[in-house]
Amino acid sequence: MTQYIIRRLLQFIPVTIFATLIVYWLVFSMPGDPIRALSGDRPMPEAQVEAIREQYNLNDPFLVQYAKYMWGVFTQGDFGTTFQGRPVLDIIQQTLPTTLTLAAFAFVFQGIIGIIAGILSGVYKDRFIDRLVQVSTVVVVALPTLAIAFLLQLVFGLNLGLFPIAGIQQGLVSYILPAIALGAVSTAMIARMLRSELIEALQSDYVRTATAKGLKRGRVIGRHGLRNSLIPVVTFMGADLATMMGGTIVVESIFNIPGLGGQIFRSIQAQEGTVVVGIVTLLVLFYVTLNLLVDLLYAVLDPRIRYD
Amino acid sequence: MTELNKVDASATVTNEPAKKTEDASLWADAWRSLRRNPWFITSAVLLLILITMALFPQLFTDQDPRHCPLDRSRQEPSAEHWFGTDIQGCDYYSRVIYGARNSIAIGLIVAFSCLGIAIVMGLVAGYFRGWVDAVLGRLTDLVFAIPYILGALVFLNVIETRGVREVAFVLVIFGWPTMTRLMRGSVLSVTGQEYVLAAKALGAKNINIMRRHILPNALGPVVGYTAIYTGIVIGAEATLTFLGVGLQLPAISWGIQLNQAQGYITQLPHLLVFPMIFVGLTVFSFMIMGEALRDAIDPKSKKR
Repeated sequence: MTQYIIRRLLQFIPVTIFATLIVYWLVFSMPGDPIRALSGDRPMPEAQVEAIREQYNLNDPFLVQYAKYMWGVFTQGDFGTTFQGRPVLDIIQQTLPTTLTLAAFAFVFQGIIGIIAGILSGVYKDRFIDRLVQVSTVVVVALPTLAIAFLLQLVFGLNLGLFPIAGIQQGLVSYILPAIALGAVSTAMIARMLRSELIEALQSDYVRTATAKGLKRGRVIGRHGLRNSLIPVVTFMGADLATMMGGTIVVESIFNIPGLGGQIFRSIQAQEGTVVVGIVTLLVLFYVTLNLLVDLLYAVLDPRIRYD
Repeated sequence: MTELNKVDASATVTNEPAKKTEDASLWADAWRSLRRNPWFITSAVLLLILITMALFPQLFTDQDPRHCPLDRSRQEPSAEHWFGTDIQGCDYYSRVIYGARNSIAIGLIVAFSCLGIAIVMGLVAGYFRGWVDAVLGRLTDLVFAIPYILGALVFLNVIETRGVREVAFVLVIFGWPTMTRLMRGSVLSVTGQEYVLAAKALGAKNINIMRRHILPNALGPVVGYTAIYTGIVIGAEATLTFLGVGLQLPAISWGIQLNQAQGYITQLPHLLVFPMIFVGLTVFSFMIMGEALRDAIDPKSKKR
């Protein structure tokens, strides 16, 4: 196990470095000169431009800029400063809680609904409820989040007026529709995955033994069948938490939620390179770390992985 | 059988005569099970309509989508303008119909480019292993470390004028590893088979082994995924364009329509409803088609 962890950690380091390097390079090759834009109509004196370029390490070679930046991130949690002088960390701290709330809602939603649907469908295989779950999961998986989000917004927000259409002024209620939109596809995937795992588990020998011992049906399913079937679901949900970060960009823009995803979008359009780099670096780190944790969790749950 | 042939033909043009006999039963089997699959029939009909729409939009509307007199702006749907008119007074029905072309073009270009890359890279990595495989493994790890939409968003933002070509290019860059990994795994499992060993023992050249024995047998899982992936790409393109980093005006695109209609959601919701339905239906059709194909060609995968 130790060997496995070390090997995965060693893979983790170059991947993180290159991924952040690519993002850094892309963002700072954006067209336009932010320093010139800063001064507006009246050009700044050359010396002042020079001082600002020095302050933001813009005169260093590209790789040195990148190294200095990453050094700051890892040693002091310093994600840089916007050209207006506001620390990027400040912006992150302001928008992150909103996004985390949204992600938490989506996570809970997809966990509860996905698992219940999967159990019902797996236990009552080929009955009406199973057919219903199968048809609806096929449809939901095949729809893009963009369309799902607009559909929910139009039907439940605008037509029925049950939920707010946009913003988070009305507290936690405002998170419900965006969270469902964000978690819908994964909910369907969890239900499908659990269904097939459960059907397989319920046909296995250890479940037959448990039934033969005289255990009640509920206990057989809950303690014996479900336990093993949940392993892939748990790892899927872990990996999905990482992918969800991409989805928040779309969902937050559609429902106008002032979170991290919406902030990236606004910063890209406003050409605030430092903010984009800061947030994207954070997300890439988050994504890679989470994937690493999921792999390790998988190795703990399923011994076969460790020995390949 | 048109869809099936289309996907298959472009992928295996080189070895058509050689594999005709041995392959006939696999594809015939697949076709038999597809014909009975209601999901396949539904998606095939929808795709036929949508692709016709992309190729010959004139068949569906005689209005000019670029004829936009301001005096008829913001009309509700009516007999004359089925989907109403937009802010500029363009006929919205014709604009939505003409929007199919860009979306479907990007979807197919990206999916088939990724398929091409996946076939070549997957064959080389899965058959020869060695350093190519190692480099490929690290490269895919790297691309997977950057979330798809996020990577494409940052990359596309650097490009100032973006047409179908630019958007497709960026989506290929972030999309090829998934399919290559799938192809590699598939090649790997075929390479271990006895008939490949037999061919090697008979002294067949590597290129011939790959072409005649490995490719036809390894292609199955990838074919279904190509259609699924077309759907994913169309969704991604609409999303990126909606976010403002995809196609640009004056291009006619569902993403742009959604973007512009978003501000008028309470006053003119129909401007949002129609492009949303079309994006949803198109992605839906491609993904359902892909799943049906995958289940038919490779029944083992049905489990998931």
